[in-house]
Amino acid sequence: MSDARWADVESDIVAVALHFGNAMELYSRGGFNIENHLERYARAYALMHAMQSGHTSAEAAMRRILDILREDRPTGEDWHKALIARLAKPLTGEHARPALLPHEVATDLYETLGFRHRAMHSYGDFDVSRTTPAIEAAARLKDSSAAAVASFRAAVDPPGPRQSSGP
Amino acid sequence: MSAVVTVSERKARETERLRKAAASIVAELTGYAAAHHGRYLVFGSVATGAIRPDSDFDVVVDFPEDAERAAIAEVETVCAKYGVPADVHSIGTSGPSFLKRISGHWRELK
Repeated sequence: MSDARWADVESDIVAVALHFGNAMELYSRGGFNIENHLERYARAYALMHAMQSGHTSAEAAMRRILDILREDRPTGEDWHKALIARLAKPLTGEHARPALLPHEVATDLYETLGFRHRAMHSYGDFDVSRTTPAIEAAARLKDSSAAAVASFRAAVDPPGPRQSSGP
Repeated sequence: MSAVVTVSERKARETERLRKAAASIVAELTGYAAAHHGRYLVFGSVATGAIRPDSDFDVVVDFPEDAERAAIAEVETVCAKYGVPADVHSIGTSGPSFLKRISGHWRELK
């Protein structure tokens, strides 16, 4: 039996797919320029919230994985960016492990992180026309995040006699 | 060393570190208890030897009233020195059901 906390990671990854998948649907549905103010507001903020929730779920998975590995979480004002950077790099020596995030997955996460930052600080000036790169990144992350975690788990917590059961 | 240090290996390494740290803490607290006429009652995974990577140092402090605060501080200081979380209880404020539950499973340091 491997570390039980992988179940929590899997739940986070399911949430990533849910929120980014819904963001794609909300983006496709459009209606961000319709006349009705409240409906326009609801559609824009639903999209923003889905995108933010998707990235936050991805962050939760990454933080849990650091806990499983017994690696300290990044600290400081830029920890959100540092978290991606840390897990995009392989480590050697006493903490040797492969990178969790392939280059293209890390690039997409930087994009959704940037979206979240812009959405949180837009103060009502959300411009949906500038969201396309983040939506495209989210569409890829919907599947690539699960694949990255599965591959990483197989490398660091493989089944068999080397498995671990406790926290 | 292999190219990947697995989760199991990381846990084993942390467990071993905690085992050595706990032994050092026990030695230091035994000396302190003897010098200050009190005793520490270590319970939980350190007392039973079932140390896990997330183990902390569970202890009940049983010292004369005027020495208790310093005895608690000593546990916190020594545990911090060895990087082990401490869970410290005072015998005077511990309920009878709690003491009954751990009695027979503790290791007395004095």
